Amino acid sequence: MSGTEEKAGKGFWERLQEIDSRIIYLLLWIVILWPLITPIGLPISISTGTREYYRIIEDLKPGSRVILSYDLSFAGLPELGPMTIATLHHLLSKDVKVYICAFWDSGADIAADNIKALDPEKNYGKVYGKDYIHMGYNPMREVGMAQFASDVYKAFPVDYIYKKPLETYEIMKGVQTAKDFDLLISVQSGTPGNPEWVRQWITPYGTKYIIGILGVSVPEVAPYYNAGQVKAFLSGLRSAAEYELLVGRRGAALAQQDPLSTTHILVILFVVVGNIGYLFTRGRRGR
Amino acid sequence: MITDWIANLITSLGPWFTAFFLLCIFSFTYKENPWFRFAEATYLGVATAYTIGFNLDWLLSQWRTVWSLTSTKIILFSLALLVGLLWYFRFSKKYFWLYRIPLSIAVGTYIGLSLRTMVFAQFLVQIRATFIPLVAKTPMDTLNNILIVIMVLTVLLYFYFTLEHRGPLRYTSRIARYTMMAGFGAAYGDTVMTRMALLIGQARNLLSHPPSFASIAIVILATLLLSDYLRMRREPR
Repeated sequence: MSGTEEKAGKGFWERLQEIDSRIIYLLLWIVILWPLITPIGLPISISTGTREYYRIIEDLKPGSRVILSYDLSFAGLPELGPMTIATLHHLLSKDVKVYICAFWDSGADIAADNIKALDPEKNYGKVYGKDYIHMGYNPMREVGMAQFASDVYKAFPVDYIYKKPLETYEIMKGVQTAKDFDLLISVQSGTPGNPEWVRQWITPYGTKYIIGILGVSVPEVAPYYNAGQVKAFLSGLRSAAEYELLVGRRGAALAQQDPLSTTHILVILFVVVGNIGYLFTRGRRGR
Repeated sequence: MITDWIANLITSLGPWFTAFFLLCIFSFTYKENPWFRFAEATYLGVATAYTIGFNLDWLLSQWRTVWSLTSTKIILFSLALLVGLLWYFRFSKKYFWLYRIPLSIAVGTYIGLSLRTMVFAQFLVQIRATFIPLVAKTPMDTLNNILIVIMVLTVLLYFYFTLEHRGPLRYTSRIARYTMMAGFGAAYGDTVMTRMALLIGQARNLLSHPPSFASIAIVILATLLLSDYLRMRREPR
């Protein structure tokens, strides 16, 4: 049987199941670009998880010491970038001391970019070295986290911006170990990430801990949340958009909610059509 | 002066580079092609150089600020550096055994450090979290708690292979299978969200500079279509 005859002999559902993947990609591009060019403005409700994350930062007492660890790569930036910058904005808006660090090399550069974009001196009246500091990058992964917990200055001898010894900054007064911090926030896209922080910080020191993660990491993090080791978490672009609403800073996550919804509708349609096609063809094969 | 000019040039070319490499990678959705391979190889080179450069910078800052201050520290740093250099004997058949020294140090340190708290962090605390009251404050919480207990127990039993899954175990393994399927479904949904978010982020990047997006897309697509057309003409039907 020739290719044309074979094709002609196939039913609608068989042909639908063998659809060229390039057509699917094209449809995907259309449902992404269309709402980006002409936004629809679909409504957004705020979930309990995002409220918990927001509440924990909001309830920090004046002068609290908060670590914001950039444990993410450039590849994770489209999904994690908006929540990272919203978290930094939230922290800088409050009377707390912010200690920025990174256990991923790209994280240190992303943090520096975020600081530059928010301009804490001009927009929040914060002083570098007094109200916030970028402690830099530690390449030793879990070992580095353990070192950071037992002695901050061994893990980060100099700051990232001016390369000056960390102990020369006012913000570092009274800081030595993990016990001296009130909250640990890690925005993470892989390993080292959540299990490492829980092993080296949360279990031995009991530090309060919240995280921002990729949507794909939710099943891995859920047991830690259920056990109370992670107090709250933001997952993916959707949570980031909700959080942007709560902190009152409309950013990239909110702008991307329309295409996120349209692509999901398309994927659901594909799954439904694929399954109907499978059921029909299975019945036919059975006969 | 010249460095400023180069910096300005690179800044203004930034969106073009971004659009070019993004579209080269996306061209894979049409088919495997030289544009994609070029971008892939460039990415690998840049990412490797970035990581090496970043880590060398960290090493130098450690040397300047901590390890060059006293003679004892200099000796310790030099020893650590020598042990670290033994990694490269991985490429020598004759002295391969030397590579095992830094490897064993790294493995031993990681295992020792993680085992220190792993039993509590990822075993006991997780088990304790499933010890929950079957009757909670609200009907929804009660239902959730009952589901957690049933699902945890049945999934654990599913991986109990000493007995054949017959009789009562047949029913528990069926519940476990449904539980895991629900979990896989949730994981799939989350994966879709992540992948779409990454794609949308890049699409937004492309739209931020339409001239580069449009012109590069046309060039790449035209070459792909042309190569397909020429191939079809060359190959007999």
